[in-house]
Amino acid sequence: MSEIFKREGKIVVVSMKNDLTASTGSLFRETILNYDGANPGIQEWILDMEGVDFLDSSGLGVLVALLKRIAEKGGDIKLANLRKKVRTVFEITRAFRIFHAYESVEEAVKAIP
Amino acid sequence: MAGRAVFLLDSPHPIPVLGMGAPWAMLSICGRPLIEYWIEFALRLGVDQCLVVAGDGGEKVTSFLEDGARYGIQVSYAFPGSVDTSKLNESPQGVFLLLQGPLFPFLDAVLNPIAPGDRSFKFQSSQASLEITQGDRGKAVHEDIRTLGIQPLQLDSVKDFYAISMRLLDSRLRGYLTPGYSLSADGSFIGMDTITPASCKLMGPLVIGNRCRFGVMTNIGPSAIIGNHVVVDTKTEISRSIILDSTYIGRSLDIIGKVVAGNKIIDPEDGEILELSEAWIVEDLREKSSSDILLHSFGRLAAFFLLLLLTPLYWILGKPLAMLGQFRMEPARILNRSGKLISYLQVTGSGMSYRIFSALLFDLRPFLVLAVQGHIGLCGCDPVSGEAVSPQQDLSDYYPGAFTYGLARGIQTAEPELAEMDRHFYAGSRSLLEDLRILTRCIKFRLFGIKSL
Repeated sequence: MSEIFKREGKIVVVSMKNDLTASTGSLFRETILNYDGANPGIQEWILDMEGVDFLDSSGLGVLVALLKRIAEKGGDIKLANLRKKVRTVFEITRAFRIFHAYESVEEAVKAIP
Repeated sequence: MAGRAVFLLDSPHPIPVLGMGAPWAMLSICGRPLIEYWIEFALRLGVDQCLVVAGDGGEKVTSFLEDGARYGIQVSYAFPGSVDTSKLNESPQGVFLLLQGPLFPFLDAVLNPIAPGDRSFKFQSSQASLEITQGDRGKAVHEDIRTLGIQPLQLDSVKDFYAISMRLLDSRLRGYLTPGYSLSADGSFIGMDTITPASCKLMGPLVIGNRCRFGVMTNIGPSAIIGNHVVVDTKTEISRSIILDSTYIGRSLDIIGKVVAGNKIIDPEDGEILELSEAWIVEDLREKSSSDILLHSFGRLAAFFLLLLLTPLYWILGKPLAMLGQFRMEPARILNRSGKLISYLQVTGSGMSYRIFSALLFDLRPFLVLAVQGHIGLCGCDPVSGEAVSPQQDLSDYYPGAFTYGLARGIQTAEPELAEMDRHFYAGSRSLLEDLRILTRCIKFRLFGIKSL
């Protein structure tokens, strides 16, 4: 597992270290869901995507599926530190209509009500 | 008074990512190759003879310009290195024009005539500088050039390309009309053979090339330039963007302030290139003929094995199901890859036995036979039925298959516009991977009822 989790109360920051593609997406999804299962009470997920250089349709699909699962439990996913290429994929696929993206983890934390 | 021009095109392409295999002189700007703007510029200055020194890919320039007769200018050609540029204008009578390197001769005062006279114009672009001289040889008269309304612009980066294209659009391309295009009140030019459904919203100023197709509910513009043979899928918005020739734009996308060339999305601000390997976002629709033979052979072989697999099953399960009589087998005709009408046995029906019959792909057996015979591919677009054939049928992008996008959607014969889009998409994206994708999706739909695409 290459993701690093940092939890503070109801917030957890996940530092992503790999590209999110068809080959890595399902492992990432399982990792997040396992962590969620083992650490109840998390409401706000902040994905620090500084280490993600590219994501494909499967990766985007994994993020949407995770958002759906987490939103069903009243939680939310925020994205931070998106690289230019990843940001472009989010822009053109209209994924920003469902995800909120922030320049940094700190800004994402500030946006939590 | 006669005028002469020399075009030096032998420098390397400054923006190879936009070149798509063609030399920079053929770079499409607002639907026209750069060299055509040069010719027009030369004509405006009174030039009637032009020497073109073409470099790599020069044959594309020569086949485009030919002898220049259609422009009313005499064009001749020379090899790189065979022309001594320092001795080009030894007799300074009439107009002499030298254009060298990738630059755009922007004519601000294009509608005003330029007074004739003995003038020498030299526009030489380089990575570092732009030299402009006018008057007696070597004597720079920059102010006079500006007065004439001539403003050569450097074309060294995606940023330059984007800025020039947008500037042309924003000034509504006055004086740059191309035959075959028409200007509407909002400054839009739309080329030939372009399909724009009623629910497609076009907002000028924009330029749309020839043979483009837009899905329903698309928004194109303002300030969009769409090249030739571009397919824009449904519910996509394109504005302040340039889409180069033979590009597929996927469905439900926002393309704003970008340059798209095949499967590459380029940010004009910093030139960063996002190359996507996934055809669902953007895709290069250019012909990939080198792999066609391999693909065709694989398709025939795979169809043969599938047929071998299905035939015993058909005799064990299919025949008894057929005897239940809930479906019909009728002769029908489709167009094969070469455009000939061929007959096959079409299976239609309803009821549980037919559903089992088709889930096991037995209804596709006749198509598999056609694929083995080489009439159609294993995968491809929906074959055109014999009843739907029109005399003007354009078969340039027609690659019919046994397994198709329509089959994966379960609406094989409905929505002709969608079928048309599938056809162009497959023509550009056909590959072993794409065939496997179609095959998987068709089988998923037939066996489990999961619709995709």
